[in-house]
Amino acid sequence: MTRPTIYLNNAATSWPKPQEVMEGMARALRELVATPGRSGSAGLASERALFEARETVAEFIGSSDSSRVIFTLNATAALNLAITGLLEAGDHVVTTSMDHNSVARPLARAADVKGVEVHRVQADDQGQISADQIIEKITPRTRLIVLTHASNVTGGIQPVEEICSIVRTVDGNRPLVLVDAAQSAGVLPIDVEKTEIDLLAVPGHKSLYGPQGTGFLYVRPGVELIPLVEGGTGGQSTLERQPEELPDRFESGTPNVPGIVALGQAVSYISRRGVENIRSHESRLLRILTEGLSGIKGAALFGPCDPSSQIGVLSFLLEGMDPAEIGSFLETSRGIIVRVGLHCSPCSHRSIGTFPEGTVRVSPGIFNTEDDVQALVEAVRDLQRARGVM
Amino acid sequence: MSKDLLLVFPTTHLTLMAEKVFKGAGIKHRTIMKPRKISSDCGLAITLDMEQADRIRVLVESSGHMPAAFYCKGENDWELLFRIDGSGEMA
Repeated sequence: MTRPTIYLNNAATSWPKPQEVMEGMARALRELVATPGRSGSAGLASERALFEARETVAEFIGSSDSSRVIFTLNATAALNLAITGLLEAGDHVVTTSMDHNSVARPLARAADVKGVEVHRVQADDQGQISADQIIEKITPRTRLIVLTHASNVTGGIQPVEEICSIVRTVDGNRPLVLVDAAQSAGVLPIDVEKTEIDLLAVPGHKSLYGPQGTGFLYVRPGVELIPLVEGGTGGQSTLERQPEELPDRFESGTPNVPGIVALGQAVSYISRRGVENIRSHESRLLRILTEGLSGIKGAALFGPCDPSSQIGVLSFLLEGMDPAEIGSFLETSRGIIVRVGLHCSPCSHRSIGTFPEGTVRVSPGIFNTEDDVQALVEAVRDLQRARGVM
Repeated sequence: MSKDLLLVFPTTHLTLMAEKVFKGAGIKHRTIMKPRKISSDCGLAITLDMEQADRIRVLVESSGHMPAAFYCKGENDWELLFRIDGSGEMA
């Protein structure tokens, strides 16, 4: 008999996907035969499907203008567009030591190529930063503040609302705020207009439970970006240069219609389940994990270890054991899938003192049960017993 | 319905947004492939009844972010009446 898989790696990509997401994608492949804007009236059905998905996403994040939602390949593409499309020579950026490489690397290139000055605010040993730390680093040249809404290593939540409300009061050239919501969208409430977020990068395939290869960037009205990809937009073909209007300005080429349709279905699904309910479910599982693992001799937990300031992501280590060995044991002996290593965020691991080995990261999702996370705790306990630690 | 008023928007997104607004306001309309002689803007257009023109103009202007070109059916072809820019002003 095949042992069922216990999937606890939702921070990498969520699994399984809701039935209606799979059905939406299949229906789009079956019925939406034409390329939007390029296939006469047959393309109109595809256009309408994209429009509906864009409207659904806009409403979900609190944007009253859906043309400001730019569909992208993933959150990484959205972050690259925001950072590379915005920054110019002489700009100053404030970011944090909890950046994912999808933020850190485009910023490093901006520093190398354009001479952009990047100040990285150092998180404490739990991976947390305060609003004051960010605010005090703002200078008259600060063009951009990049915030990681929730860390993909510790799950720690950054005070986005507090920082945005203070930034609003800055005299003169107010810096823009880019929020990397790779881990938070679908788990924490986000309202771009109420919070006055300028740029929001979101993946479709993590806590929104859409397919891989989807994501989006929200661009606040008045924020000007240079497109990274130019070409056919299906309309305004007489123009020699890229059109100014959104979303066309940033969406050249044939779009991922089946993926975007499925993303729209996914966002509808998450809206119906309710972000608060999802947060509550993940907090309950996180509490079981935190209490269970912290009671195991030789186990070290990283991050706030407090569901009120953390999403459903937890990093741990066992003294004297390579995280890769722990992950291998969990998968081969118990069918539990987690992610080990640096999680594409070496600076986060430097902050919490786990560089270069990294940690074992556990990230339950909406389809996980208390039994699933209890099984992980039991497996780690058994492992320690087998090692003679307990 | 005579469908002698034609609206053209810069993007397909705006055309579909206008569709949604007109539908919500109970205004009869039809989305068509844009007539060939109108070379600019997106590949779609919306035809409506000229009798509704004033109401449509108010809806487009009040949206504040729906630049549109208004055409009327001339003797031989569509003729530009006026344009409304992205801030809802006459252009």
